[in-house]
Amino acid sequence: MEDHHRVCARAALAISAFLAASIVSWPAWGGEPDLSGIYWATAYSARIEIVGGGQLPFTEAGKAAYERNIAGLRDESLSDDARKFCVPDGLPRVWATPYPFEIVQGPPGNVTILHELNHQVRAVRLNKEMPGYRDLLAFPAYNGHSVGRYEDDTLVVETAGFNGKTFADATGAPQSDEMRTVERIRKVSPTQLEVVITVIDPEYYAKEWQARFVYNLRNDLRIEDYLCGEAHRDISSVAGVRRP
Amino acid sequence: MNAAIGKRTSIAVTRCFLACALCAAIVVWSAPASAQTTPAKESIPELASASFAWRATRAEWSDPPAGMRGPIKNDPEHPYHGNLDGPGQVTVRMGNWRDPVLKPWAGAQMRASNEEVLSGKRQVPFTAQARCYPGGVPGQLLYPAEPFYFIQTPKQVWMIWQRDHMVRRIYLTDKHSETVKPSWFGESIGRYENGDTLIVDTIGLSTKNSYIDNFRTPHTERLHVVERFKPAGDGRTLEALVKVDDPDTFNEPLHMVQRWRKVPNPLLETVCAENNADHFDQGLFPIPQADKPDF
Repeated sequence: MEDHHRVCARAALAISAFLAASIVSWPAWGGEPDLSGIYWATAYSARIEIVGGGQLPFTEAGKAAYERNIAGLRDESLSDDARKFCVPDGLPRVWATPYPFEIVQGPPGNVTILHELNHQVRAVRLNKEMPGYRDLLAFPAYNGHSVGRYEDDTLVVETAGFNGKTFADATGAPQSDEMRTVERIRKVSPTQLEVVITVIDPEYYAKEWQARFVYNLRNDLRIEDYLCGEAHRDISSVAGVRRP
Repeated sequence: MNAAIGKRTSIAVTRCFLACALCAAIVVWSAPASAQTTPAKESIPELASASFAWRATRAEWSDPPAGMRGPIKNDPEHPYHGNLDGPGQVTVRMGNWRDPVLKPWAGAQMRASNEEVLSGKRQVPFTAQARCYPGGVPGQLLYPAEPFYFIQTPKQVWMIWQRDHMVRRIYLTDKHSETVKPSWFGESIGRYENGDTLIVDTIGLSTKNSYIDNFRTPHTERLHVVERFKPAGDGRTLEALVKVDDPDTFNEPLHMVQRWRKVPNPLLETVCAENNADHFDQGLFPIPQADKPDF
């Protein structure tokens, strides 16, 4: 009998605790997950690591473009404008940032992603149609045009309308202006954010590929001003960062 | 298992179920009650939207209400004739370095900047946003051609300029940090007042290439800026009254006004460094670049 009481008391407590927690986090319950905060990577890789390992699945054109980019970056006939002039990195490269970034679930109807690196701002419009093909052609952007939606605990962001002037990573992996990406952004623990990005770029890649990034929640930080060529935050704690 | 034990178990289960239901009911019932007892949300000006933004009406400060010391003006000896000022030779902005509000060092620096233009060394003097530099505080408010956006959360306000995606962050706290490392946009703290005004208090502003206006009026790290943002005209315009206090640069605080129109533009990407070479050989101030990448 005592056992029954104990089990019963525990069950009652557990159910109340669950309900209380659900109510406390009411705005997030059945609506959108709370992804807001400042995040910072603990590791950086110049070469993008793809999910499942192995090499990027280049097409012939992709392979040729990659070799041209590598040679151009080496003999400096080609500049890496994201580093030299601090233009936006594009996707997925911006996720390989060794600097903190922040996600703000606002203004209403938008999610805004603000990077310290190159003070990049991405506006993700929620539950909107992607602009038409002609509009995307007329207004190409380094970070493209993004629309998003919540699927349970995940923010799903679709992006198109890139300008084809970006590299997929710091080694010069090529990208075309026909590229599309899908990002799935979610908390994998109360203090960790995961971004899985799928890259669809048939001109340079024979099949779609994915990259995965994990960041720590760092609400103890503030995002700092960033101007090209100035001294910035110390990023030596991020594994894999090599100071030139 | 005999029938008696079975019955006892079933009673226990029923009781347990009732207990759970009671606990759940208390939690569910008490939650809205506690929500009701919290004070009503204080009203704040609606500055943030995904569908509208604010576009500045001028690239110069307007005069404050009568009785307040106003902004630095153009040098009367070299009148300004802008692109939109009708027929005539376009000129660039030359600050009135003789303004008695300026400390001697500041007047001398402005005069030297004017001389640089008059001598032809720089046909177009430094203008932060034209050359991809942050405009600082309060200079950033003067950027005219593209709108800026707010995001408002209970703890923070962001101001995002479409142009080169410059971002200012305002922390809704009542105290500045004990030590502030000087930076382009400094440390801004803010609060709402009267339900219609956002008051932003900024210190910690770095001085290199940082000016309070487009006349290249300099400042020191003692600069203290208080901005009062308030919607006007049925919410179709936004106005800021800005107080600039820097006893090492000005003999008294300056008061200046900027206004914006509400425009129905979603935020786009505008990259300043793109196509920004000195095509006409005007001795333009070089845009920022990193000779060595950070990583």
